[in-house]
Amino acid sequence: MTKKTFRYFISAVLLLLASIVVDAQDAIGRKHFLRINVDLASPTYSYFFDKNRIGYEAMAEYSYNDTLFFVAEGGYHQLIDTLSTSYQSASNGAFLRLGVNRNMMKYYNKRDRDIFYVGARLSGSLYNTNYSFINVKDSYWGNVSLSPPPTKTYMGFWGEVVVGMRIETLKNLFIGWDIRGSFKLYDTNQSTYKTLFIPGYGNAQSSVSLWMNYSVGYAF
Amino acid sequence: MTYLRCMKYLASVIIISLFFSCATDVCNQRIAWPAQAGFHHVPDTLVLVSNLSVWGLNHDSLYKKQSLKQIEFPLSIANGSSAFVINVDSDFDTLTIFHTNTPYLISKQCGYGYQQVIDSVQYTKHLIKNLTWKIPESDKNDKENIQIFY
Repeated sequence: MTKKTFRYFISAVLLLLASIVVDAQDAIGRKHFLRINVDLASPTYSYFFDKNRIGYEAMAEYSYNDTLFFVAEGGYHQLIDTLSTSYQSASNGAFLRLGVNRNMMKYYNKRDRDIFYVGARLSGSLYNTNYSFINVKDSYWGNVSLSPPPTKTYMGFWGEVVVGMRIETLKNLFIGWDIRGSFKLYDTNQSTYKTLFIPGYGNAQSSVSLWMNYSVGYAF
Repeated sequence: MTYLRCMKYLASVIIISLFFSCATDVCNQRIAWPAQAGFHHVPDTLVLVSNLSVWGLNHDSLYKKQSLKQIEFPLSIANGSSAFVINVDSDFDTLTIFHTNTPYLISKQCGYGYQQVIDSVQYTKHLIKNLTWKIPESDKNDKENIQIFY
């Protein structure tokens, strides 16, 4: 599963890199610009649906040419994961994603900066994780409480394929969304007590993760 | 034109949000799998044992005066050994299973469980003539771990 997804990811990256050459020839002399976006999905989700999840995220895009954008995204995520009386685990940390977006939409004119894009990212997170308690139920012989390990720092790495759009609603002011399909490459926590949440990625126990961002942005 | 794009944007947001609301959190797995045991006169042929009672030493009944070919021994996750009493009519045997317990995360929905491997079995010989354990891992595959010859 992961190998197949990884192959798709590499293909997507190669296609995007190939487009740099084509796009350089197709450029129509538009101005380069930097767009800074702030994610609203994580804070909104935290406020309305899950107070145990905290997330802040910002994205910077620089237009290399008409269709290609270099992207850097970073943020901080925290999740306290509780399963009734079975366990409580907390993970928090910073993450960084680097990659490119390729605009797939035609521009109406030279000032048009709306985009519908596909993109690829290579991402990493430096995070802390710990367990407050772990209980295992045994209705016949008696329950067991495991000794929670102390807080430890780990790293997680993953790749992403992104699809999204940004629309200029007011002058220089953009709204946008993106869906990101992530696939885990490696997690340095290989101990018995697993990481449940990798900041920036999501469910660490799944080899594939899906998330969505809603953002507002400003173009300079 | 921007208005049209904004409308398309809103429509796409609603569709995608609906897609993301379809997650489920269900646990269908057991914390630990009991050891499976079968009664035999000769290897690989199960026989029915009547009036059979089984309980964990100093614990409640697992089976009470039943007629069975196979039984399950739930292994303790707190200790490295689990002792059981097997009773047929007026005969009693004590069977102690020594096992290794290794905790592991089953899933986020199920929490932690134990993988259990049988190391050895000790037993008295009033009812039981002989005993073998072929498959040390007690797991969901429902395979007979212990053959009891009586």
